[in-house]
Formats: sequence, C-alpha cells, structure tokens
Amino acid sequence: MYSRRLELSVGAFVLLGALCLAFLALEVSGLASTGDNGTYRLSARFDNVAGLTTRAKVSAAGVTVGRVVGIRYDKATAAAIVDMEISQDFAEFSEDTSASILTAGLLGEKYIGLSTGGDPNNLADGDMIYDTQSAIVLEELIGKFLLNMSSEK
Amino acid sequence: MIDWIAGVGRSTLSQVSDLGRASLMLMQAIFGRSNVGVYGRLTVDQIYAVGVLSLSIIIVSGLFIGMVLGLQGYTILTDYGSEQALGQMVALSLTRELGPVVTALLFAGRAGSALTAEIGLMKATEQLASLEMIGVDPLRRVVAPRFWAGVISLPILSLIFVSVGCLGGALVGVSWLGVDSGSFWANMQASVDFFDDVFNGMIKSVVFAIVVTWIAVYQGYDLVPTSEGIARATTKTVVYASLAVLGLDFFLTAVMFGEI
Amino acid sequence: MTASAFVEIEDVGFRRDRRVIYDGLNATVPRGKITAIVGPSGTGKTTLLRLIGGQLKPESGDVRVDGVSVQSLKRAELFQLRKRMGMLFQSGALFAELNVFENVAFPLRVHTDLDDELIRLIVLMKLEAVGLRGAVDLVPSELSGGMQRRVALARAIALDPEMIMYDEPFAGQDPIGLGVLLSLVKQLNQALGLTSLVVSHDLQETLSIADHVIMIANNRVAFEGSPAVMQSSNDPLVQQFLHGSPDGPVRFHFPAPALEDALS
Repeated sequence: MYSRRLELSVGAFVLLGALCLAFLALEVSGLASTGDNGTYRLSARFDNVAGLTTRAKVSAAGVTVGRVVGIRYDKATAAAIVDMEISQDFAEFSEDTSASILTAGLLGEKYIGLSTGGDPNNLADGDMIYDTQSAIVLEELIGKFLLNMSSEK
Repeated sequence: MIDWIAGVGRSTLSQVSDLGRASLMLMQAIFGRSNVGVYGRLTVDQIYAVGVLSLSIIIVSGLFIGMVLGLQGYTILTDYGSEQALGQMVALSLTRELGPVVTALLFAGRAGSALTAEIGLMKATEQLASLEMIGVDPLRRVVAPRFWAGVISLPILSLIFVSVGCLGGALVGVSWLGVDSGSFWANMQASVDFFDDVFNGMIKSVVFAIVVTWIAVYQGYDLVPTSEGIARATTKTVVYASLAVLGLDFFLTAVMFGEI
Repeated sequence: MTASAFVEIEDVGFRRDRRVIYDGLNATVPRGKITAIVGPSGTGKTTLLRLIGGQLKPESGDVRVDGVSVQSLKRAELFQLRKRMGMLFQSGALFAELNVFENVAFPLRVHTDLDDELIRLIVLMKLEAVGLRGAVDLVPSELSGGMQRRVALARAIALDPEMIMYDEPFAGQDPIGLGVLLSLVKQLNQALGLTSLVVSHDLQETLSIADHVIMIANNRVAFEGSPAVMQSSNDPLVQQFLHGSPDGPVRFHFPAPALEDALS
C-alpha cells in the first residue's frame, strides 16, 4: 500500500514536470504560435540596422505578425538585408508596404514595423521590401542636433 | 617558506586524490553491471525522497521569486515607460538564470545534505560494510539509485520552478499592477526562444544535477564515520555544491549566451 | 593442522595512514571451531576481520580463505567468496528502512531465485534459531541492541555460510543478553558446523566458549593456542592481559618525555 502511494506520487511528479515543460514551450516561449499555419519569408533592405537582432518581432499596426530570422550584409549595395518570417495568417501585405525599424519605449528593443500601402498586388514568399526607414541612431541624432545648435549661433 | 610551498603541494595532492576517488566511485556506481529491474525500483524510491519531497520548497520559492521579479521589474521598467517588457524580463531571468541556479542551490540544501547524511549514517552504522559482506556492492545498491534520482529530479524541479515563477510574475504584474495581460504574454513569447532559453536552461540544470548529486553522494560515501564526520560532510556538501553551481553557471552562461 | 585450517594468515603487514597495524602477522583459524581474537584496544582486531573479508587489502603477505588468496580476487570473485562468510557487526548494522523479515530475507533475495513462500520459510526458521520469530514485523528501531544483534545473526546465517565473523558481539550487553548471545554462538557453531571467529573484549566469557585463541599485541600475534594453554602461559604480556593489571609490558603511561623534563 505504502509503495503504491509512493509510485503514484513519483508518477505525478514526473507528469507535473512534463506539464511544466509544455507550459514553458507553449505559453512562455510561444513555440506553437508561429507554426500554426506555416510562415513565409520576406526580406527588406535597410541602410542601417543598428541595434536590431535576430528574433526581434515584426509587427503591423502594433500586432506581432512574425519575427526576424536573419540579418546579413549585402556587398553589392552596401546595405543590410533583413530576413523575416511572417505568419501565413497575415499574408496580405501590399507590394508597396514600407518597413521601418522602431524602438519599443525609449530604451526598449528594436523591432520592425510594417505598414501596408494601397497597391492591389500582395507580397509573396521571398519578396523584397525596398521602401524602408532605417534605425535611428541616437549618437547621430545628438550629433546633428549639436551641429544645428552651433551653426545657429 | 619551504614549509609553505610543501603545504600547498600537499593540499594539491590531497585535492587531486579526492577528485580521483570521487571519479572512480562515480564510474563504479554507474557503469557496473546490474539488475535493471531491482535498481530501477530503488531509483523510483529515491526520486520520491529527493524529488517529490523537495516539491513544496521549490514551488513556494519559485512563486515568491517570480512575484519579486514582477514587482522589482515593474518599478524599474515604469521609469523608462516600458512596463510591457515585464513578461520578457521575468521569463528570461527565470529560464536562463534563476530557474536552474536557485533550484540547484535549494536542491543542494534540501536533498543534497539529506543524501550525504543518509549515506553517512549508513556508513557509520556499518550498513555499507554489511552490504559488502553480504556480497552486494553498496556503490550499485546505495549510491547509484540516489545519483540517478538526483539527476532525474533536479531538471524536473527546475521546470516546475520556472513555470511557477512565470505565473508568480504574471500574478503580480498583470493582476495586481495592471500590466496588460496580452502584451505581458505576447512580449514574453516574442522574446523567449524555446531552444535558446528554455532548452539551454535545462542543459544547465542537468549539469548542476550531476555535479550536486555527485558531490552529495561522494561526501556521504567518503566521510569519517562519526557524528562529527557526518555533520562536517553535510556542511561540505552544501558549501561545495553551491560554489560549484555558481562557478559552473558562469562558464555555462559564457558558452551559451556569451556571444549575444 | 594446516589441512583443517579455514583461514590462513601469512606474514601480513598492514598500515593505516602512517601507523603500523601489523608487521609480520601469522595466524590460522581452524575449520569448524570457535576461534577468539583478543588483545588490547587499538591493536586492529576488527581490521583483521576486514582483511579476511577482503574489505581491506594487506600491504604485504597473504590472507587465504579456504585456500584462496583473498587479496588477489577480482571484485566479482570477492563477492562470490563473501556469500560463504557471514559477518556480525558491532552495531548489528540492520538496514534501517527494512523490517526484521526483509532484513533477514535480504541476502536470499539478492543471491537466490527462491520463490516468496520458500524465502518466508527460511527466514522464519532462521529467526526461530535466534528466538525472535515473534518480532518478524517490527522495524530495527523498535528492538533493543541485543535483539538487533540477534536479528543480524539470523541475517548472517541466512545463506548458510561456512564461516561467521563476530565483531564485538558482547559489547554493552547486560548479563542476560550476554548469556543469550554466548549460547547462540556456541549452538550455531555446533549445530551448523560453522567456523566461528569472535573478536571480543569480554575475555573470560569469550574464552569459555572458544576452542582456539589468537592474541594480538604490538603489531603481531602474541599468543596462539588453546584457552587452557593461554591461562598457564608465563608470557608477562599474556598474564597482564588475562588479569587486567594496569601496568606491565603494556605501559600505563602513554610514551612521553620524563616528567621532570616536561615540568622544568
């Protein structure tokens, strides 16, 4: 009888561990949420991606629609190419969609904001977004500001 | 001066021979031939002793640490107007660092010291010698099941700790301080990666489990079989295991998350 | 004599840390008899049992049990040999988490494939032999020290060994408990034809049942022979030990510089 209770509690313990693993996978790391209906890939060319990292989120109208999966340097254009995986649920971005690198809060993480345009044709897997706005680099901003100050005098 | 150098040499030699004996013990305990049925049964018994019985302290600590993270994180993040990052902060601290480390430290204190004392008591009352004379290897019969039980239990406890901690953080952040529930969880899910964060945290936990349990069973098996010896070995288990966890954590963090 | 010896100890040297325990120890334990190992405290009588059981290895010399050198055996072979020896530890060393029945059944479960009914029968028989069949469902902590030792004795004879080693079986017993254990040791020896090896400080009681005595002192065997011969020995060391004189070849004072030097 005693050993039966012991077996039960060890079994419950292991199951609880499995349950927690599932919780961490689904609720905390959101493992399943991107893989529901598959994803497709978009790329964007930026002059400057300072501060953007892989796994940064991609949002449209404030809703997360995908994440950054790769950042590479394009030698030919001397620009950065950012690869994004967008959830199939949000497949309708027009061809003149623009992408900009934004910051969550004053010092928060960098993320990519997509704002869709009016073009009737939609972007498809592997397409490139050319209409982009680069990351704001604080040092450059301050530099310009100081320059303006001194030239006004 | 010469004496001092000789002292350093002597203590180095004794450390190295300690490590050697501990390794030999582990090898013999794990890799000897054995009857899987009987030892599996003994391991289940030990999972109960080291795992199930540590559950309450792990759940309570996890809940409170998660709640403190929520509270502290909120006051800091509101200064920068980015309290929506609270979920991310709580979850990342827990999965990467606090979960594996604090669980291992608590485990060393709760289960590690108990393992040392139990094996030490069996040695002091000649139960280990008695097993040997009956023709049963105490390394296989006593040490191995406890070692495996520790290695299995600690990662499970760590998973539970992290989960409860995240819920604790959500409780404080969302229910009490009014962070938007959607952005709390969405932010968490966007920034926590299953393989980079949860999985690496679990690898840490497995490494800690091996080291802590190894130290605990070795200290028990190798102690001087008197009441003073048991007391000293129990203290040593907690001190050595805690130091080993914190030191290893630095190296593992450097290897896993260093390049980010 | 050698033909009937169960254990032969030949020129054994042993040190613990840097302290010499034995230096050229020679002794034999005759088969089927009760052999007492006596000697002043700290001379390593228990160590001798551990050498015979293979738990310790001698630095030099040879320990043979039934003609087999114990120190040359591999771990598995050693465990095989140990099935033929029982050992009763000073504290009894019962497994605290098992009850009396399971303690006695333990060696049977580990080493035999007997079914539960047969094991039950054997366990009850062994417990009957030590007079504790009624305590079968108790746990060790519910037993007195003497009863724990008797259960441990039942466990030691569970596999019908050829030899039993007793480590201080009489220590700390009241006269009744001591008498019970004494008669048990003697009965088991006669009934089962066991070779018995008793380490004890209770000299007179032990000598009353022993057929053969080995006295260890000063790192070697000081006397070996029958109890009667020992009583009439005129070796001053043996006489001091037999009569418990405070001073003699074994000094009352721990070795120290002369008192005058220490005080000045």
